[in-house]
Amino acid sequence: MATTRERVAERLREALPGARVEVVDLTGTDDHLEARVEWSDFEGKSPIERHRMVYAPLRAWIEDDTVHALSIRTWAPQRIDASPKEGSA
Amino acid sequence: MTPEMKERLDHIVREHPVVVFMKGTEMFPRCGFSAATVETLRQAGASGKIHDVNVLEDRELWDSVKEYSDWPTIPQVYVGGEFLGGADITRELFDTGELEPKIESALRRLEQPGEGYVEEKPGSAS
Repeated sequence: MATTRERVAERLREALPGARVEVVDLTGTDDHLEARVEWSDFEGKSPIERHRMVYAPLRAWIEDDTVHALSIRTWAPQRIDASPKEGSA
Repeated sequence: MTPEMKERLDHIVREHPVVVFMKGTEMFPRCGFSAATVETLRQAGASGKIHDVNVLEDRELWDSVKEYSDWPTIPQVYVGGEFLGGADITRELFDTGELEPKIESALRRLEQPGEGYVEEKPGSAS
């Protein structure tokens, strides 16, 4: 059976399409987890908004204590396709 | 959440410049994230000024504060009436230097004589 850590990672990847997701078991007990998420949709979002986006698909598991503690770290990928100097009419 | 509970929560976050809804108390935290959050707030200048609310002592408040803040986990930090987030964001704001000025400004408003800790009304400044 999949561990909670694996299920959390899978659910986040489904809910946040295109995100890079890594979930770490902080205590070796599979209930204190840290989610590290890099996602382009985080661009321009406040820390609170980003955390809410990560919490949302996990809400049921947080409420029933499957995930007892969840630390969240978020990044927006650096955009390399934009060239800010050019084309800004 | 009952209207009474909402009023109670409004009152708590308005009346105290630095509020932590946490598991346990500032002196005796009962959860690692709550302990870390209190420690971060102390480092950021709120030492001795933290209003701790122990959710373990009040199940109704515990459930309600999640809805109130639209946030599923504890701890939850309010500074100057503004919801900051949980342990991770509090730490993040401390690391980027944003937390200290928020706390300083919230504490300064508390120390203004007469009014207590209330929002300044536009036009009421003399």
